[in-house]
Amino acid sequence: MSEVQKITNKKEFEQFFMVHHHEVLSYALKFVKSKDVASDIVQEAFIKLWENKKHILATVSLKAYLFKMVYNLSLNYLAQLKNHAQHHASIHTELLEMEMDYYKEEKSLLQEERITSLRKMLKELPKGCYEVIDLSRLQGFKNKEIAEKLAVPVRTIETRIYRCISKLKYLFEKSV
Amino acid sequence: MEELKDIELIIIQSLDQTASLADLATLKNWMEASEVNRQHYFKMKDMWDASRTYTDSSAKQAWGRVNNRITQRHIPKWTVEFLKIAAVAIVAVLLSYLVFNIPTETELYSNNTTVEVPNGSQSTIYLNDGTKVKLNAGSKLIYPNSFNGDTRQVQLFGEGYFEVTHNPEHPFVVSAGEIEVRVLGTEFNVMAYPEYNRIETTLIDGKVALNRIGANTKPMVLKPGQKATYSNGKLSLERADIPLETNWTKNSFYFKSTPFSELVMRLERWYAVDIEYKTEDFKDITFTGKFRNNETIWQVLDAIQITTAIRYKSENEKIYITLTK
Repeated sequence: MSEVQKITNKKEFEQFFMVHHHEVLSYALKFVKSKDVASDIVQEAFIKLWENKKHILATVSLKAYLFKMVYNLSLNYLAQLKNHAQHHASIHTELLEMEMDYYKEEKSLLQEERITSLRKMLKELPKGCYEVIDLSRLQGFKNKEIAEKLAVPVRTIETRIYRCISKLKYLFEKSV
Repeated sequence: MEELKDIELIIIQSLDQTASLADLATLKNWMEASEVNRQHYFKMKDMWDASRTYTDSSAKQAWGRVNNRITQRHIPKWTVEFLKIAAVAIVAVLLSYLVFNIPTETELYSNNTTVEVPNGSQSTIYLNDGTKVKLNAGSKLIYPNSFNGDTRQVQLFGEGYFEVTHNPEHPFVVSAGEIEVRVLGTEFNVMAYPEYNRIETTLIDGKVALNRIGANTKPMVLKPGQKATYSNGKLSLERADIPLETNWTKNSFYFKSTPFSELVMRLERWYAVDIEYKTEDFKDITFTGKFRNNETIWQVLDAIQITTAIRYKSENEKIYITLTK
């Protein structure tokens, strides 16, 4: 995938947007658990990029700029959340801080091409695996809801999902 | 399939956002213990995150919104204002159509927040409709991130004191065990710790209606100062001792002819301690008394000793209570 170095018009911007939207939304969702909030953050980041397009140094990759923006906006949002929610348990914040720290380095990021290849691997998983991953990750059900749907104990679902994600991780690491 | 190790189970629950606070603390310690652990967690998280997919239409819609924003500045200001109002109205109509006509279960429950209060603490939560909920120790509340249905539905485990924002068009419904409490803006307390085998609802102010979940019978309507108790499938009504029921919200205890077993459960939750005693010895013993906040468990036990013939000792992080003959 060719790296866009400069955006001069809206057509280029749209292209850049379409290529990176999924990836950057996935990134935001690592920190911000609500999809609505993550979408807003991503939208804000793209708009900032557009508004600042003339001032971004040519040496800085636009993509890196975008990720940095999403990272900072997520950080701001989480700081706000921490202030607002008195009930917000500190352990959540501490874990989030560890995650924020880890994902700060771009090396840990799955690139868009690799995400696409990973999604192909999903389909190669055994049928039992694909069924639960489909319900959990593609349709967004909680493990408890899946357990109710399939009329099995929630522990069984948790075990199955863990095993399937592990299997996916194995396939993925082998392919690289 | 072989069982998961504890930490594996916690990892998957944390990714599913259903792990308890205690488990999250375990996870954090485990991650801090070694780089290998940390790598393992983040790789699993990467797989979990990446296996979610979005449809192409979501990117197109998102582009539409961004494109709107970056184009807007060329349009005269009053037009934008007008467009904004029109857009809000359309969205509102669409939403109400969705909400009132096809509220499927996933729509109502897919975006929930769970707040769990561990033993030894309390927590106050403000819901986004302005309702305030004070949760007692060892309790859990599940509520949607935003109230979209025709009722405002929350689920309680344990004990909570609710100050509900008035909105008769969207009744506030608390489900606790087999009971459902329907509210039109009010203050009340629900006690539904599973170990007690009963659910108590005390109304302080306003009006609530109670029923078994899914029942077709006429609901029981409570007046302020009344308490409804659900036990063994039956609902009964009595006058409430309001301070007795609600003193926990002011950090104090008030017991009146409380069975010893219940006193112990309260203390265990309040102080996050383990208390052992012989159930059959204390079968007929009840306790009446009042404690203020910031008294230690030892001061409380000493106070109980004055009126009740007990002796206590602490060993291996447990408290043993015996009856003095």
